[in-house]
Amino acid sequence: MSASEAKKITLKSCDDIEFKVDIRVASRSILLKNMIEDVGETDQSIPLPNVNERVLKKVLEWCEHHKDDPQPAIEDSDTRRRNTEIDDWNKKFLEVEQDMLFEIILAANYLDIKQLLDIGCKTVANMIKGKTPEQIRETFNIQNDFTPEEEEQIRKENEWAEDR
Amino acid sequence: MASPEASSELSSEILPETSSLAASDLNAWHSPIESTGDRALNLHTVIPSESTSISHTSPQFQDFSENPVQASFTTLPSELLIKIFQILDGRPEHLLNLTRVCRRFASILCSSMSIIEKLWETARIRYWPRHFSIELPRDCESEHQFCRTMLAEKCFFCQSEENPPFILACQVCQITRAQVLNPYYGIDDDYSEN
Repeated sequence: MSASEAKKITLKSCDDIEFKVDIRVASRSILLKNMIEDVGETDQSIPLPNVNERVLKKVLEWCEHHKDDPQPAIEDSDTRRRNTEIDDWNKKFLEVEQDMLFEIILAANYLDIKQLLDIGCKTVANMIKGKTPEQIRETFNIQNDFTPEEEEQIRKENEWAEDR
Repeated sequence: MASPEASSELSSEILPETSSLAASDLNAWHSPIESTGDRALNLHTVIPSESTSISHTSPQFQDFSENPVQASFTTLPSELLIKIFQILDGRPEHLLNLTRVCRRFASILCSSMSIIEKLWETARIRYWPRHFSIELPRDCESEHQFCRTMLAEKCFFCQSEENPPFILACQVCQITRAQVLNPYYGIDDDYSEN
């Protein structure tokens, strides 16, 4: 068995689809990295009950592309957060249906892939910037669930933001 | 899982018409400092009662396989919503706009959790000019109350609507009046030269 073959693990999505991936790729996920370190190499597939095939495929595509990136340092998280620039590859990668974008964010959070979670959140934040509450609702299909009284009160408080 | 196209079509169909804001109602509130105190007092009436008990449901404990709720902005767990809100902490009006979107966002952004207070504080300190990066006034209960009551749509002094948000005054008037009140304003804290 060659060294490269030995460094593969199998991930199983919640809809029972198996993905055989390089350990380096899977290790972009801190959850999987820790799991592999704890359990060691195993022939058994690792079940991921929170991620379906469609999302896992997409997440693994990101991991494959970023497998050689350095792991982000914890102390620069504030700087990372402030910078809302997203590079072209990642921007293109996240040009997906909105439900997929949020599924990727949830999967990145579950799998503990900080950089993917960051760019997902930044993408959503960029979609919010400069929009009025009504435009935000339209963008994300959010139902206005305020009572008329609450809405009136909020409007009184925040009237400066209206009609801009 | 249903195809994304079909699902988004469905959700837009069931979404009720929400753009029924009457512009005439707003005119009564155009005076920027009118009843600021009242607004502060009434603040709690708009905060849903669950505001102090935000659930921190971690996705690790949600079984998505058996409960295939379509992922959307509003179904994200609170911790992820807060993470997104934190990216927007450079502009208080982004946070204020979010409080007006739906009850859930309002309940998170109006809660007294320290992480939320920090969010509003950061917005205040990062956005407003150095001379207005003041300490929170004593009669202000919280950072978000400060932003909610002190932001105005027009400059109180020159009535300009340019470049909001303001603390009741636009930046030009803030600087002009700061200089009237303090002739040494803008001399970078070095009063010895004068």
